[in-house]
Amino acid sequence: MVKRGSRPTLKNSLSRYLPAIAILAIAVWYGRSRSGPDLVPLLHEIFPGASRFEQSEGIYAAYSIENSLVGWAATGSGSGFGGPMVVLVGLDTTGNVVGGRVVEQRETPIFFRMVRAPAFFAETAGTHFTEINYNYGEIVGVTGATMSSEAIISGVRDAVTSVAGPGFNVHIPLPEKPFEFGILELVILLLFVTAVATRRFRGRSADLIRWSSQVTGLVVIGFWKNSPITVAKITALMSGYFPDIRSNLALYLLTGGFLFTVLIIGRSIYCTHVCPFGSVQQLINLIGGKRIKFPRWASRLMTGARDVIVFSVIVTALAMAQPALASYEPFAALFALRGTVLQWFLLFIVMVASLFIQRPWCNFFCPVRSCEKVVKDMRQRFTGFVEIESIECD
Amino acid sequence: MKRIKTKNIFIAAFILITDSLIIAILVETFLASG
Repeated sequence: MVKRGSRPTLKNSLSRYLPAIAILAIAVWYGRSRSGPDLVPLLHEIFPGASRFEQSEGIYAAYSIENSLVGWAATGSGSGFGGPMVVLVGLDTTGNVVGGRVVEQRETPIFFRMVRAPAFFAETAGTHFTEINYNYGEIVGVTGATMSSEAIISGVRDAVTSVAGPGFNVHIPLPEKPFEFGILELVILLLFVTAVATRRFRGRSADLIRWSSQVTGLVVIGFWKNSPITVAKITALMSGYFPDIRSNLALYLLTGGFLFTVLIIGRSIYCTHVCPFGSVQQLINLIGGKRIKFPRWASRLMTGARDVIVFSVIVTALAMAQPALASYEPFAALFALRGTVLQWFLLFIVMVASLFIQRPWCNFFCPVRSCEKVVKDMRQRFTGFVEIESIECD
Repeated sequence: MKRIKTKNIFIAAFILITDSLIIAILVETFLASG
């Protein structure tokens, strides 16, 4: 349902968004200006026998108390979930790995704890740098934390490559990164294209298309890949962190599809046809069969609280340069069976509420809805069209 | 005096519990990140 609204002026558009944009920009600037961690204590942990370190072009040379060279260390980075993962790796003078540490990470705490980084460095110690098993990522990677594990492996390779050139005169070619286009990417693309192409369908055929899309999204994007859009991913993009498109195409397809459909056709196809968490609520509501209509005061209070929470957590996460701090969705509890007690409790409440309320999470708590509201409002300022507020799928 | 509907009490409780949980999760994540 579309109605024509009055076209807002440029002046009131600016006064509405300028303060928020300024706060976000300050938060990004502050987050970026925070100094990185002090490497010296970590270098002492890797080279316990070293008394001093000399840094030249990013390579740290470690010297013993007798002033003899003990080894070299360098940092390397890989693409993590919330930002670059920086690791420090040390090699002795013969080229064997002495040890390594994760220096900087922006991962979701519950997932980072599952990555066996110390065990990986311990098991790699003593291995010559030319014989490091970089496929170790498959062993380190536990369900749901593959990206963090792969980021550590990439960081180690990057660090070793930095030392191998000046230290041992060995050039290690970086492997070609293939463009990952698998079932997940294909499904996302098909779901968006189908929904856009059939958006004018009504009645049974529209219901059939929507339900098939939702079930497919639930299975593939939810339970199989656990990769719905989250506030942490949105915050990471806002912070200027754009992970390699070759291995993160799904993220760009989802966020691009979301933005494109809201801007061009005025409604979020992601929310109605693609989001796996929305589909779960829809299915539960089908079982419950009830549709409690919320009074206006309650709807306004809840969406207002949601918008304040979303804006506050994004600003905090940007200022701390930790996008994962913004994460509050219970998606991992449902789709990866990983969550804290509080996340499980929140999931339980949302699932029970879904029996009586149409998509309670989507309508009152989801950060993607706050983003949709802003994008729609901006669109309205240019086109003069507004859409209905709540998600009503049938 | 106007009678408060049971439905409204449930709605208020739902708002209070879910928003408190979300804030608690955010605090928990913040503390866990060290």
